[in-house]
Amino acid sequence: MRKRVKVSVFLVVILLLTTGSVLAEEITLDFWNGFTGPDGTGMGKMVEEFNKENEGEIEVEMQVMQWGTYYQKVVTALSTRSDSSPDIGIMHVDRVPEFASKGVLLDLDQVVADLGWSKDDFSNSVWDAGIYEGNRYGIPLDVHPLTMYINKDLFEEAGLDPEDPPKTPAEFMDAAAKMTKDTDGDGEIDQWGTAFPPLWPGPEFILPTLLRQFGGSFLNEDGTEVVVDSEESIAALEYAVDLVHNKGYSPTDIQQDGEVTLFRQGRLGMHLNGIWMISGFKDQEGLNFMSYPVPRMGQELAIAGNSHNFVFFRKAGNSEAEFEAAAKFVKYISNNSDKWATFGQIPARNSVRDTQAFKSLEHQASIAQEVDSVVFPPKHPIASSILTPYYEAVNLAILGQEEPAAALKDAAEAGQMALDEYLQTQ
Amino acid sequence: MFKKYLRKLTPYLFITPHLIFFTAFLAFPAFYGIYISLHKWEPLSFNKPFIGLANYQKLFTSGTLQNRYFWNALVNTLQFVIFSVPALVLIGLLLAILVDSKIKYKGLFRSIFYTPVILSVTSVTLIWMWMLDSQTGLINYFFNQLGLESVAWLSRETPAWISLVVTTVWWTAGHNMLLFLAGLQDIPQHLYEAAKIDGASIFEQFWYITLPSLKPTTLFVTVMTTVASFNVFGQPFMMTQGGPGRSTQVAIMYIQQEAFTNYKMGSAAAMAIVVSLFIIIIGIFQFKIMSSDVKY
Repeated sequence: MRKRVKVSVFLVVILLLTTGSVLAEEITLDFWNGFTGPDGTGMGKMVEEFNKENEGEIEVEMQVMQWGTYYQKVVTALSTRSDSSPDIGIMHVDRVPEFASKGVLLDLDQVVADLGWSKDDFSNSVWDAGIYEGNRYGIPLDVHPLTMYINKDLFEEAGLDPEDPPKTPAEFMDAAAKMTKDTDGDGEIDQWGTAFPPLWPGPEFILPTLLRQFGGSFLNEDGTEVVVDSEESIAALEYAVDLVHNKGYSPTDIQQDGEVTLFRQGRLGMHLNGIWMISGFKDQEGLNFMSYPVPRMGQELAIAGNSHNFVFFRKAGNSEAEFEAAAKFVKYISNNSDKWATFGQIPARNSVRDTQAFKSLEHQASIAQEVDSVVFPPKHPIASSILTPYYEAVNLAILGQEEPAAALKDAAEAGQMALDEYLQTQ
Repeated sequence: MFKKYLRKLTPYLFITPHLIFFTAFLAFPAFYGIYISLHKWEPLSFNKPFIGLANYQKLFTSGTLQNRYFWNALVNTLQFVIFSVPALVLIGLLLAILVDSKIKYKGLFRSIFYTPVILSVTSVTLIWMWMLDSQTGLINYFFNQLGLESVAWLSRETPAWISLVVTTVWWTAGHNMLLFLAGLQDIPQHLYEAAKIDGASIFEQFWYITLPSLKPTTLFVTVMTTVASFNVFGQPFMMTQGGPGRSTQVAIMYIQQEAFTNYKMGSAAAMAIVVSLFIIIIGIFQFKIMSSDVKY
């Protein structure tokens, strides 16, 4: 009997507490993202601090999931148009057109105007990347470009200066040649200057970098034609194939992450991979490395990258107050994104990149020197369907199983089929 | 009167729990899949118009992307089934006979052979990817020690298939072993005793007693392994990513791509239905050949 009294008192207290918070009208925002690594821990801390500052008014609830399943879950949640779908999300900038074209993202022009932000506050290309058909749907948080990691020890052994990395096509080739050798004298190359892998991030980041450096593009100006079989594109792929198969400065038949293992073992001079590898390489004992912007290998400098953007999802009951709360949250995170940089990314805002806190991050600050040369994947609602055939062509060509020109012709055809099908239904 | 009624009801009550789950997780999704396959179904679009058999037509009209990639993926899946099913059944049977015989540490061997089955596909593929790595893998290291050339295990078509089948066998043969072991232990010992008295050799015993007695088990194992092999996804998805090119892309991988990269749920559902028709036809075929005199 006594127990029962206790339980009911407890229940009443809980009831009072919960109704109390309802009366205060605390706004709860669901914030979804795919930051599963150390970046997620960092973001979690920032969310916690924000919640503390806004106690009783705004409560942001963060949910983290793998990027791979994140988009599937977002799509599922949004398709039901239910209350359980997220309010705020992080989205790679190349996915924004896909979601914006379906009308599930909120127009953020007003938020940006209220915050008083303009193009000048952000690195060039990333600011424009969040705009689709004249409206802004993404507010950039960071930029994550392809990066050149060098092994300092191998540089010194080869008589190169690790403080002055290759920046031109000739310097890059020369360094690659000098560090490719047979170290144990068994007649087989076991240390390589660089690596162009046929799998991730080769087709997705390295070849797009080369494509843009050689002056090519994926789509024509008005987005009606897939042009991955252009002369420039063929030249870029031939450059990579030549480096792998004729010059031999890269291992052949690299498997998924095989080149990462080689770099960790100290058998790779210049490793091209995303900026997100920094913390992993730092944990590798005895790996004496430094990070630099990707050098120019073609006619002009361009570095393929992507960017995490804040987006607001359209929901059945979006209220003005919720929208304002979300805007407040985005501003808070953006202003404090130098903390975020310690977890591996380059902040999108110029003012944050200029802070002492960011400049003291040796690797990130070094990569950020060329942040204005970062280029993004084509802005198109079905970009991934158009690009998949290109990735396969790159895969086959770098493996040496198909000629670059023929493979790219196939890719352009298949990409065009997907694009035509899409254009017909518009 | 009431008792009689209740007695009639009892068997239905027993199957109710299963029936609920079967309906919710198998029957309903299957029919819903057929429904989706008749629509232009994009998850984020409000309109999901009925388009009849257009999704199926695309599969059977040459010149469409779906036609080009789906049949390639289905042929790849069939190849995998043909390579992997005999290996999985035979090796499962051999392991079962081994751990059923009078060897020392029987329990230890049974556990060792079964352990891979409980691993997740991610762990299994990661282990094998490290061992199979072109430049730094253990297997190529042994090859080099023996004076053999390194093999690009996952980036040439033939070695890639071998790698996928070997990985699958290592991972799942233990499951078949367990089923065969149960079958072996069901065979009455007196049959063997009688055969011995008649002077039958070990091989004659195996051929005339063990194999026929195992027929129901073998049928079950073969059909289940075939279905499982048709549904292969994790190994090629992780290890080869369907490469080189699309030469190891299997049906489920392409269906997943169509559904979650291209967001064409209707088209993906149509493909899934076609694949399951194939599985059903092959299953019926296997039953016809093998079950002529099987009694349950």
